Amino acid sequence: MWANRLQLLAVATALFGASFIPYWGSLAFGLLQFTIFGEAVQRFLRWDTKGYERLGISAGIGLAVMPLAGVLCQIGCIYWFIVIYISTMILAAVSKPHHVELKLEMNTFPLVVYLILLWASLVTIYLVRNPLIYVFFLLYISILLYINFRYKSELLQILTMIYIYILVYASDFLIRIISETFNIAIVIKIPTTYSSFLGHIGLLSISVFYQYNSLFDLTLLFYQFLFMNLLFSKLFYNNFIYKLLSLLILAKYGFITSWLFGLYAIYNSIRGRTFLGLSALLLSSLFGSRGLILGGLPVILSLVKSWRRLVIITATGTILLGIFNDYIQNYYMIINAFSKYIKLDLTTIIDIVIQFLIRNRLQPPLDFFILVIVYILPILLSLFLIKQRNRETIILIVSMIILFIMFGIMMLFRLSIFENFASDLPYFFLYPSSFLAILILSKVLNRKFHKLFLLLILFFFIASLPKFFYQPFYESIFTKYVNYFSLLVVFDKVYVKGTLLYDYGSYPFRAYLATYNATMTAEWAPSSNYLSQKGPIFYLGSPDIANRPMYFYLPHVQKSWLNVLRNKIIDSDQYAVFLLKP
Amino acid sequence: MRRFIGVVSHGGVLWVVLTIAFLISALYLTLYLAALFIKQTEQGVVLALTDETCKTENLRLNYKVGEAGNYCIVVYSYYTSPKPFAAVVLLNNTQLHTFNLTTDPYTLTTARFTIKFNKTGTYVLQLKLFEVREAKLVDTGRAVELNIHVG
Repeated sequence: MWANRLQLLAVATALFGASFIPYWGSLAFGLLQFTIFGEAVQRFLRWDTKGYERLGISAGIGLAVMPLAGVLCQIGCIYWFIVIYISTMILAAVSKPHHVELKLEMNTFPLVVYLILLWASLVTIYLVRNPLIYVFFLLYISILLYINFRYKSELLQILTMIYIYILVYASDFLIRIISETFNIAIVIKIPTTYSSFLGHIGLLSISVFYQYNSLFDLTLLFYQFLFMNLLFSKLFYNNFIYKLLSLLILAKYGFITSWLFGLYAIYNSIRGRTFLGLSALLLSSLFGSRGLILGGLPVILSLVKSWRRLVIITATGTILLGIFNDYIQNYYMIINAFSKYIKLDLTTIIDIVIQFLIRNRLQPPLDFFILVIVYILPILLSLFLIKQRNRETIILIVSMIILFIMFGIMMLFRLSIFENFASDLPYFFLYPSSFLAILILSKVLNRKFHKLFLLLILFFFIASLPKFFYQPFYESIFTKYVNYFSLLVVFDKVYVKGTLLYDYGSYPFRAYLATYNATMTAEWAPSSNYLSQKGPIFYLGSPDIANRPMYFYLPHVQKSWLNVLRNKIIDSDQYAVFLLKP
Repeated sequence: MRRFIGVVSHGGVLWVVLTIAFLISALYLTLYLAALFIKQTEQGVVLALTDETCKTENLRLNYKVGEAGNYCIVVYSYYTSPKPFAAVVLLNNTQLHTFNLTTDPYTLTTARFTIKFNKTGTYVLQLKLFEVREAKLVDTGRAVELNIHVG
């Protein structure tokens, strides 16, 4: 008995010590927090879970305590590490030992194929810079799906989901690794708008502790996907096709942990566990607002059986979120500030739609239409195919429809306020709406429709990939990062003081630019907004910001930048540094 | 060996930890190799014009007649082998200086020059970078430009 207990204590101690090794320590701390601490909690609570469920729950517990890291890291993340270690030791020492029955199985062949495909995919993205890339991805994903069906392994399924996520966000991961090879100093500034997202701040603070290295990101990603796999398995009865589809829909949603707890809230509301559902919702809001948008409606609508309770909980929740969630306050401020410009009568709506379709210069790229059409598909299918209506299905259908209407309204707001202001806000309603549609379809349709879902996987894969059709975005960001980092090396050596402005095209590099006194230029803001600042102002971004037909920039904005961008002091292909003001 | 990561743990937390560590390391290594390949494939050069200290601290755009402007050329190469370049300085489209620079991979190469401004008006100071290939200058397309006001 004591041997089992001592093994856990010894592993926890070894990992705690290894947590302080530079760079690789992030992997050790990840293992301590998400495997050992979660295991100790489960032993203490005497949960008799097995296999991937046990590992997934451990990952979930590790993520659920992250808001406490957000608090403790304010005085130093080392205190958080000590708290995790001591808690693990105490829980493991006082709990009854548990025989871990965990099979992490995967054959050699699929693992090797998987790693080769991951390598090949990233290199293909770099080398093939045109729509031909779809042919390659079709081939790669077909091979991966084949080995998934040929070699049954839950571990392979999790790795496949990670593959898709990395592919959709490849630039993020590769940029970080390349930056490490170039020794670019990375600094993160935690934006004040995130101050209420304690969980998110906890994750960011630990990232800062480990100097924002890619190994920590990967470790975190692995545990997020273990938890995600558990939730998908619970929602979709461990069906790989549904898991894959759901991931493809949600991969672009951002703030993973937030929407994972949103998924957990949906799962609990379906099971009728109101308290757990609301707790999960509250937890999700500590990581961002994505989970709240995803899980809020199903949880609240499941309370409809008691109207009094619904009104009290909704009112309390709304007030609390209004007070504590700065992000939601921010949305309100934006809409409120522009409220006098918002006209949503029928004539205006028709006018907006016509303008949107006929104005070539401001028309969004092709991938916008692909994305919207593909994401609407399951919504339409769920409305037309579902005849069976029980309470659970009705709640999900109503939530889906409301979210889709919100997508339409936010899109109209966006178009009426900023013309084509490139905000992601409307999509935050489209993605969860589409996900709920898949959930509804999976609950009702029988097996003969499964081939339909394989087709949907193909569509979603195309829609989930980065903006390949949008040439400047693709050329500048997705493949030019080596060039960009070279520019940053020069910039590091020659830049002394002043203000650095960077445009939307440099957005993925924001963590690196935080080293400097850097500000992102708003797409809709004229240059005059920045010229009142003292000292020289540098602009880092596309050299032809002022005259190319871009989706992001409005005519009056371009004109004002044209008058300013006269002195170029550093040149690097797609990116240039201008001295805006002497 | 058929089940390479086939680990069946009975009370073996250590094995679970080691297996996960192995998997994350394998993912990291794969991404690292892809990044390394991309770094080796993408080659080029970055050109900058700064003040005499090779920083932008005192870079001036306004001078008085008779004053001299001191400048520094900064070239950063990310070619994987040493490359010969020529940096050509032009003032109002008239060539003033040519600097032959041999750049080493992933290093900064610098050169300094001075221009005296004798007349009032707006001067356009251009710096163009050429690659020296078989004693011929091949335009790299890299250029920077300063608009200088002399009053």
